[in-house]
Amino acid sequence: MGKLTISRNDPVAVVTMNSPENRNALSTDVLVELADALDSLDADPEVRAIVLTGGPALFASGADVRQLRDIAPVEYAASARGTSWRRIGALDTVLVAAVAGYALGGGCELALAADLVVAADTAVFGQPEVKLGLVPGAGGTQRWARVAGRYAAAGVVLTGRTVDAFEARELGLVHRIVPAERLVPAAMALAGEIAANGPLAVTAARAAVRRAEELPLSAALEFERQQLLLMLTSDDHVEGITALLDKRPPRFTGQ
Amino acid sequence: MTVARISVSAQELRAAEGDAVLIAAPGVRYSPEVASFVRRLASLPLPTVAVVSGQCDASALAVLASVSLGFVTDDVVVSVDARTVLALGLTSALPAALGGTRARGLLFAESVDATGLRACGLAQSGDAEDAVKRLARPSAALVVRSLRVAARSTPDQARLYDAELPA
Repeated sequence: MGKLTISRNDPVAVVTMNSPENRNALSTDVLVELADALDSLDADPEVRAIVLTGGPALFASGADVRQLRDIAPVEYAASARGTSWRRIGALDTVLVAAVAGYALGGGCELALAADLVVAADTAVFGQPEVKLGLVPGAGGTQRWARVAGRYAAAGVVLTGRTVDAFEARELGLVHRIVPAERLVPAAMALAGEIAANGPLAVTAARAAVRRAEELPLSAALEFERQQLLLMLTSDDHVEGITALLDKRPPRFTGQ
Repeated sequence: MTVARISVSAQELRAAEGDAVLIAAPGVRYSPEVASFVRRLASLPLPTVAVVSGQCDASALAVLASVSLGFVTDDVVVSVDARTVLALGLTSALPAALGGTRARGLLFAESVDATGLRACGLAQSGDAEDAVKRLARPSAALVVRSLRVAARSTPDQARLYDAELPA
């Protein structure tokens, strides 16, 4: 795990991208390593939320443009980049992005792939691909549109301009802004708050929220209803309601 | 405690190190360099004190509105021209700093002197050197950061940010 460090404070895991020499560029190797690490944590039942960060100074500057300059379309299509992005997008575990400094191109798309984004007041988001004669290729056009609306997305994606943490919060991308030096602890606290809820319920609610990006409303509402019916068969919902009535913290088992 | 002493120069501001920055702004007039300086001032996480003097255009108002505390010398005269006002975004920056009524009083004046700048609150009374010494401490830097965030946040969002600032 050369370009990443992983720390565990169960039920929260923190994955830190750690190649400041190239501003955490998302080379193919790094993307594969990241997808491997996230998959591994996703498969671990002790991990209920993952914080993904580049530390208190920068998040990720996007693809390694040198790799993209001379690559043929066929070669790109066959590379592990696309598979890695799909694996990152298919996680079941809650992913909290903790963003400081630049999150550009693929870095911004990585933040957009998260469930929640905690940003330092230094964070800067953007999709500058059009300035390089390219387009975002890992969800930038689609997720910006779903997060912020089509016109706001066009403002970001078609001009290549950057938005700071405050504008990103207004657009709906950023959940909370914190001082850079408290970024990771604050993201971990948020992840811990989520992880303290019923694990089955969090997974089901997350899946339902994600369906909002994929399904028509009627189908998404049906999916939500099915998730509720499923939860009504769980021990966790009995424990959650009993704990509320007993005025004590719940002890969820994930059953 | 160290105070960086600079002029109205974006390059000097980028290189400024210390606990606070004291800015000498004699005869400040609009240029792209001044505009860049003012933008950077607004995002600097350090206390800043400016002393504006002499014959200035509306750029002086932008400098005074962007620093933590602004001072003027008795000889200052600021001519307020629409082109500079618009170029520096003063129709939003001044109401945010002073409130709408006072801002309009400045924006529709042809020129403003030291008395007027102090009376509207854009310039402080007292000694700039004393002020910069007072501000060159970590707690003042925290207030500067909090103010910067509060300007673009709801009260609840600002309180959440403040709760994470180091004590």
